[in-house]
Amino acid sequence: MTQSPTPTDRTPEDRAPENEAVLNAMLDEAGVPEPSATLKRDLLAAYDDVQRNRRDGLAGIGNLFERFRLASAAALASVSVLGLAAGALTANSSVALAPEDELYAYAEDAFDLALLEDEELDQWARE
Amino acid sequence: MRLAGRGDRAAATTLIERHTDKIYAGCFRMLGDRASAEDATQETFLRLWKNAHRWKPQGAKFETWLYRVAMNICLDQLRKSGREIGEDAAPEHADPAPGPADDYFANEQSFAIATALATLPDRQRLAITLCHFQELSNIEAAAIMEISVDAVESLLARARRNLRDRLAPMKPYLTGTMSDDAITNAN
Repeated sequence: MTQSPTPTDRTPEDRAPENEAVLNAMLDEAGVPEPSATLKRDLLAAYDDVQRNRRDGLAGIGNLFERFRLASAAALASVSVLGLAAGALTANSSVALAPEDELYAYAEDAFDLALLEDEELDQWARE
Repeated sequence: MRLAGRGDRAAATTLIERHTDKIYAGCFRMLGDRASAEDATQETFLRLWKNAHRWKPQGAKFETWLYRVAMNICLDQLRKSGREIGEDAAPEHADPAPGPADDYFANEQSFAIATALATLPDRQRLAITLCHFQELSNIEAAAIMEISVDAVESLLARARRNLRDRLAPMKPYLTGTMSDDAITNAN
C-alpha cells in the first residue's frame, strides 16, 4: 500500500522544533533489553548447520552422478550383450512369410526377373 | 558475505558481530518482546546463511537487504499472531494486547513509550523504527520498505503525530516541569 504525502501530513505543530526535540527525547528514553547471551552462539550454530547440510547435499549429488554414470554404462553393456545374443540366435533361422507379406516377396521376384530379361534382351540385341 | 557463503566461519562470525544487535533492536521495536525479537533475528540470519552463497555484491546494499528480510519477518509474525494493526486503525482504539511485557522496562515511562509504539499501525511503526531508532536515512528506509521516499516521509509524519498524542501526558515530565505527583497521575 503506497502512501502519497498530502499537505495535511505535516502540520505546523509537527514542524515545531521544540515538539520534534521533545518527541525525540521521549523516544530515546525507550531502551531495548539485552538479547539473551546465547543469541549470537545460536546464530553461529545455525550457520554451521546450514554449511553442513550444504556439504552433505553436494556430496549426495556427487554420489548420485557417480552412481548414474555406472548405471548408464551397465545399461549400455546389457543392451549390447542382448543384441549380440539375439543376432546369434536368429542368424540361421527362417520364418514363413505371412500372407500379407507375400505381395512384397512377389514384387521383389518380379524386379529380379525384369533385370534378367533386360540382360537377355541386351544379349539378343548384340547378336 | 561472499566468504561466509563459501563456508568461511570467521566471516560469518564477523557478520554476526556487526549486525546482530541492530537487527535484534529493530525486531524488538517492531514486535515489542524479547523472545519474539530473538526468534525473528534467528530467522533473519537463517535466511542469510541459506542465501549467502548466492549473494552478488552488485545488487542491493547488504544491510538494506538484511533489514528488509528482518522487517518482513516481523510483519509476518504480527500477521500470524493477529497483532497486525492496519493503517486505518486509530492507535487509541488498538488492541492493548500487543503491548510490551513490563518486566523488560526499567520504569513506567519506558513502558509507556514502548506501548505507544506498539499501538501504532505496523507501517508507521516500521517507518519510525527504521528512521529514528535504527538511524537510517529516509532513502534507505524507502528501499527497505519498497515504497517511495515521499511515502516514508508521510508515514513518519503520521507516526510522530500519533506518538505525540499518545505521549502528551508525559511531556512535562520529560521537560522537567512536572511534579512527582503529576508524573504518577500521568502514568
